[in-house]
Amino acid sequence: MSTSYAITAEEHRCDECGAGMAFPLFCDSCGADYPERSRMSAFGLLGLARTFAIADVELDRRELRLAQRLHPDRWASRSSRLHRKALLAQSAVNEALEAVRDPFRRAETLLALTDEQRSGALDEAGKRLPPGFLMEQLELQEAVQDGLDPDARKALKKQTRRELKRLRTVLEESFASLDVADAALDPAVARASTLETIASTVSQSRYWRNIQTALRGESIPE
Amino acid sequence: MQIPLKVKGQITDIVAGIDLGTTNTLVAWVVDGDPKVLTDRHGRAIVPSVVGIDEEHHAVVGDDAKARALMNPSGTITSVKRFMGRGIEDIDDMGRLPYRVVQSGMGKQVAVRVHGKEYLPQELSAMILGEAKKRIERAYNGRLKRAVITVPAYFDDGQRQATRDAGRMAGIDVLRIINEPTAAALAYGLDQGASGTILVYDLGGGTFDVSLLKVTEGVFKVIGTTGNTRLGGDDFDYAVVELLLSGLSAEDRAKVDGDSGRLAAVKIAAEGAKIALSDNDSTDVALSFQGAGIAIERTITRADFDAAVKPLIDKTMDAIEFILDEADLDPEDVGEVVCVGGSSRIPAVRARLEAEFGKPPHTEIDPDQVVALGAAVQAAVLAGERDAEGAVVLDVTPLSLGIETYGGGATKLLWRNTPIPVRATEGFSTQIDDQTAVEIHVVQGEREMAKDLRSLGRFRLRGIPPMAAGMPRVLVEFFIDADGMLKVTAKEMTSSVESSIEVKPTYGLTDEQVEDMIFDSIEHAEEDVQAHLLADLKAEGESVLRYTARALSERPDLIPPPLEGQIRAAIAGLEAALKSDDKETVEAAMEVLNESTATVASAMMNEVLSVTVAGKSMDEVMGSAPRTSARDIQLG
Repeated sequence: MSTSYAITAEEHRCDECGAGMAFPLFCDSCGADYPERSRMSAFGLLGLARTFAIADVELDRRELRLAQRLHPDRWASRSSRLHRKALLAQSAVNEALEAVRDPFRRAETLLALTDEQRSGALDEAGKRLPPGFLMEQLELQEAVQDGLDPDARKALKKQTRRELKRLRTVLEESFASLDVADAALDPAVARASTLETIASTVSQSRYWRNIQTALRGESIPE
Repeated sequence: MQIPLKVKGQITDIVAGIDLGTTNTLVAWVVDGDPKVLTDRHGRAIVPSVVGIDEEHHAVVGDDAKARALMNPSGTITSVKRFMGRGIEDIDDMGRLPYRVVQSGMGKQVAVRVHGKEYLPQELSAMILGEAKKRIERAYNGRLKRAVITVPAYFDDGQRQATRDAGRMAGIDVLRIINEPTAAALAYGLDQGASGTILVYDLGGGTFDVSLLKVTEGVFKVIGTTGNTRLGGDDFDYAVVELLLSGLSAEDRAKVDGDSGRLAAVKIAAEGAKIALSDNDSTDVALSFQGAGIAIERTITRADFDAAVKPLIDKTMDAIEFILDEADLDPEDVGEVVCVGGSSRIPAVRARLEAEFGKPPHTEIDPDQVVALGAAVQAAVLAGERDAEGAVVLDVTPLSLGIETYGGGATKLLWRNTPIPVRATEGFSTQIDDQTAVEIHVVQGEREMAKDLRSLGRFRLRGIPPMAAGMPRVLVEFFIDADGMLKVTAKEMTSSVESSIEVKPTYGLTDEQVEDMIFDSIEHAEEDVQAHLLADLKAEGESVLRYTARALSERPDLIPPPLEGQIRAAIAGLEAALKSDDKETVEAAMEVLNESTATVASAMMNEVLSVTVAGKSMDEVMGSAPRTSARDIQLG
């Protein structure tokens, strides 16, 4: 079992022309594409270490660098075949970024890469929510649907933000402890319980996100 | 007019940016590294988005169509952009329109019925695009084959498809459909080397959009976009109309409200007052309807106006709050605010923006031209004419994409503000044994139930091999390309049979239908372009002659005797010019005739309505208010 969670990114070279590749699916030097690599994880595609601790600026930097080389607009005056490849590459970049940009999505993406998630060992943990949590969420959803006065809306908005922030901190700490799990007395037990915490935290975040969407939905300009 | 490149025999390849607007259409392209909007010799940058169709189904576009609107009210189509990709149920002011909007024979989309014939919005827009194309081709002695066309950020897939189809029908290879706010940011970004977060505030004639963009090293990334498709400059005019009518007795008020001609006159005056108040602290409005014995005289101060439009500006600020909240940003995080659209000139709007963001909004580039300029920059980049390091635009899909589920709900496949291009896949199966086809209803929007969402189309998967219910696994891929337009493909996974997919757009045309409607195919490339331009011009000249002759014989009451002589002389001049084979001679003669007939329209209006707005004559008010055409005016 792996003890360290962070796996560092590997460099890709194009088999056709030997050039270094900004993105493993498409060589922007010679136009060769590698569709068989599309099963790579979002982290692998973006050349990121498999870790939760990724700064927003780091993602922005990748996005910028990739867009400058791959965006279909940069290939607009080339053959339609190349343009199409670039279009697919940029779409794969966008999908990979979506999978890691939002911290809760990122946690989900990381979980999906673990053996435990794949074997279904975490299925139950994802459903394990703090006592009273579901009831509270139900009431909040109902309250939003029935319409809140501006003050209550503002308060709930604030509370939602605070809760999401708290859950994010839980994820940060959990993932950080995974990276150093080998220092614990029983690494296997520590890892299992941390992964369960993460799965439950991700579930809770979904409920709060729904509240956030519902609150915004009320005010989406027509 | 800009300096035409007068090299005989050499045809310039023009790659343009076109702002296909509700009221006006602008065309721009990059000359010597700088984007420029095409202007006529009066310095006017615009082709009014007005199409006039006479009984013989000859069409004229722009100023010509406006000039003839008075004589052909039911054949003068304005604001066609509102009908692009729309159904009859979307049009809520049918009664107020002077022309007839009907359900077309093609899908659920609307058509305009003129003198017994149906015209699809795409065809009418293609005519407007064709006019813009013709104008720039004449000015630069070139051929416009490729262009970038802009759409409001809030346009759904059907509206985007309709715009692209209009371009194709006009014989234009549409390089990209880009969002208006993105184009505006592009125009500013390249001009001023901006970087950081930009908020684009676009208050147009009929719609309001606000977008947030992040600019870094030439990459323009749209973070979010929202808007209100029912809020625009027109609402500001109606607020002034309210001010003007509020002083009338109930009885007089009913006389004005019940008469579309009088209402139109009040609206023109209101719009003139609004424009006057952008530069003055107060303006006087005097209107009289002799037939009804009603006179309206009122001084409107800027304070009156500001109070009247405050609720409207509040609504735009709500949208700003929403978009900042969604992006988790505070007003201080916004580096630059860019104004787009004529109504962003209103001082109260600018003051509110300055108060909100703590810095004055950018207005250095004409808010009416900034979109076309940005589109021209993008066109040059796409045509490879600009430095390869030029701007890259990372846009988002403005509306969530979903599919209707059993029971009338909808599952979202892609959420709004997802960066494009992007792909989503969804598995489908069958519900009964040996079922060989599945229908998928694709919808767009934010609401929960399919019936509240915008129907994009129905996709029918065929050729699924007969199997027990639930056994086939059909993988459907939804792909939103860089233009924000959807493409759907499908594959049956268990049998590896490629399912065929039949697309029925709800509010649009199939590719085949568009092909059939391309009326100006781009086959002229090898032809003598000069001869083609001359033939176009002559055909237009003939049409002007026909129309003027009809006006003279059918509505002599509209034409005072001194003008009649002037018009007849201009007719003779054009007839003679048409016999020559010289492009410029024909152009000049046409201009003379058009000017003499234009005088008829405005002279008449000055007579009918004794309207003065801040000391300006009707002519000036109309000149600065191109939105309202002469057709709105009836005898009081």
